[in-house]
Amino acid sequence: MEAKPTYEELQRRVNELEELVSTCSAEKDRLLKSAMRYKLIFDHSPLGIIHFDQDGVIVDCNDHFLEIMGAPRKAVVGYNMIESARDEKMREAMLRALSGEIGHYEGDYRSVSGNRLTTLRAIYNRINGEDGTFLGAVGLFEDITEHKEAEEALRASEQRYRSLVETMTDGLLVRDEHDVITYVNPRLCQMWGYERDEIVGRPLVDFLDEENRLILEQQLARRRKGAADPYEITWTAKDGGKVAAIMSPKPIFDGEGHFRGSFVVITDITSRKKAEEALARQARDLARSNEELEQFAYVASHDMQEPLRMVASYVQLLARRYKGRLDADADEFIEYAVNGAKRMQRMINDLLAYSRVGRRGETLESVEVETALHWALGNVGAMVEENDAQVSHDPLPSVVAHGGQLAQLFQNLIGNAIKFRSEAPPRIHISAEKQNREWVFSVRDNGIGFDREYSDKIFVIFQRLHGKGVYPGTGIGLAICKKIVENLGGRIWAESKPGEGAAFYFTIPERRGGGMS
Amino acid sequence: MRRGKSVKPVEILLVEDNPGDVRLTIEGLKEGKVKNNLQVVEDGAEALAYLKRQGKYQDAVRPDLILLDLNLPRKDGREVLSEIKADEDLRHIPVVVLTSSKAEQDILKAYSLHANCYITKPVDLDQFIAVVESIEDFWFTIVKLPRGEGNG
Repeated sequence: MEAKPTYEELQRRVNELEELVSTCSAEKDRLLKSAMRYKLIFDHSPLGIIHFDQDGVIVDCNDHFLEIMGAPRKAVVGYNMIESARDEKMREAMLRALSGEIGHYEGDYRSVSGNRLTTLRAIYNRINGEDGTFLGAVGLFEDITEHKEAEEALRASEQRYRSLVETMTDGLLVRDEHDVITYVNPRLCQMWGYERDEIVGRPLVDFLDEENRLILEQQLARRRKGAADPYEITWTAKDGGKVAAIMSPKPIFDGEGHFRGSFVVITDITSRKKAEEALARQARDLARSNEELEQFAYVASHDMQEPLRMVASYVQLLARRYKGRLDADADEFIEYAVNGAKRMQRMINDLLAYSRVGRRGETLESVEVETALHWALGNVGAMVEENDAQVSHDPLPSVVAHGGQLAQLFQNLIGNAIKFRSEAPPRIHISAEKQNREWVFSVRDNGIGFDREYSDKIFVIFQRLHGKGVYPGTGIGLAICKKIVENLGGRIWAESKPGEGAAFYFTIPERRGGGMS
Repeated sequence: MRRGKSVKPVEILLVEDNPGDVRLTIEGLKEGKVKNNLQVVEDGAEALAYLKRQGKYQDAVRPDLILLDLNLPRKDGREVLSEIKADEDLRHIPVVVLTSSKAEQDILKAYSLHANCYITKPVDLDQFIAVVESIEDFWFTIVKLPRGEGNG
């Protein structure tokens, strides 16, 4: 028989029970709170979460999973994912999880409604209860559509830039902060004659000679300071050939402002350089050739004078002493010899005068054109008077020229105008007009004029439009005019029609020191 | 024939290396009206030796007029001219410089060597005769012999 418990005993048990109830209640609260917390995590997870049983039937899922699936809960819960999986890889990943391993899946998923295509990444893992009971598996789903799209966009962009860089006609080079080449495009490989892997990983200076290394070192120092201005450098190709290039660099700095190397666009200017050099060489050759030609003309005309003088003097002496004392043939022969010698003497004199234009070392100075014109008129005064000619002029500027040559220019043009006069007394008018940055002078006459067909020919040395009997002269005057004008950097031309007079134009570029007085 | 035949011939020294020119000068003077004795030397050094009566020219006659070519072997005309004009004794002898081009005259004038006259050698014989005549005129009308040896 058990003894009837005492009051104290009962009181103690009541207390124990109350304590137990309280503890249970607290534990229940704790469990509830924990469950609530996990439920919150489950519901608000940024990942879609599902729980499926050992057959693949979805037992539970969170709302985010429904969003990803694009389907209502009632269509999802109870759905057998293993049986219905359209993607074999997804099925494999789920079976793998059920067998106790972690299953991974990544792939496209078309929503149940069919109007949304997403890219999913999923991880599946088997779940066992605390007591070891097999509870199926859990799957975490991430919608990586945007990530995929961004990746794709990046890849496309990269592809675009790569094809641009790989096909561009300029070389491209990337080097790091230690001046080691990290990238070159095919064009640069071609430019230098190396394979890509012969360049990448090597310092830039490996591809330069001593002289150009100095240039590069200076430039690298500037690059570190952020300077990005282009410069010229000459690379040494694999075959030892030189490649002149314009470098257009762009320094690279990281987020903290540390120098991380640079991109450089390298433009091959070797052929341009060669063309420039060839052009300069041709210009030099031409200048030298011209100089030699002038020298030749001068020397020839000067040195030929002596023997010609002998020929001319002695045939003249023959004529003087023996005319009429030999026979008629001899007289005629001698006369032809004398005339030929005289003509040649005139031509040589003219050639000498022509070659002396610009040889006398006259310096350029500011010249009053009117003064030069008056000198010229002084020299043709007799001719003007004999022909009853009138020479008039507008106000004339001062120009930078050789005074003597300018006077000779007017003298020849006025002389020409009087020589080719018409029946009417010669009227000659000189005017000047400023056009752009040069003075255009004109000398107009009322003479016989000429056919425009000959307007270039008349400036060629020894070219004449008329028979020697009608108008004397060797045809040097206008050639000298042309040379004088061209020596000043100007142009000369003529306009005329037969019977309507002629107008000769020439330009003198405006230089400092000249102007309207 | 402005002067009588009794006039003492004019002594002329021609400094010229071209035989063709020497002969032309002789022929030209032949056609002239002045009686003359022409002496010819072929280069500048000879000319100065002649004028200074050195070496084989100890008995040389002092010329009344010098016709001087510019381009000469050894010593050229410019040097001869400047030596003549620097010599107290010789500077009064009139010198006619013969040049073959206007350019040479320009250059020579730039030297200011005090030649009395410049004549461009003409190709035309008529001109040459005219030149010789002008030398004669020059002789008669301009030159007054400083030592009074002439009959002026």
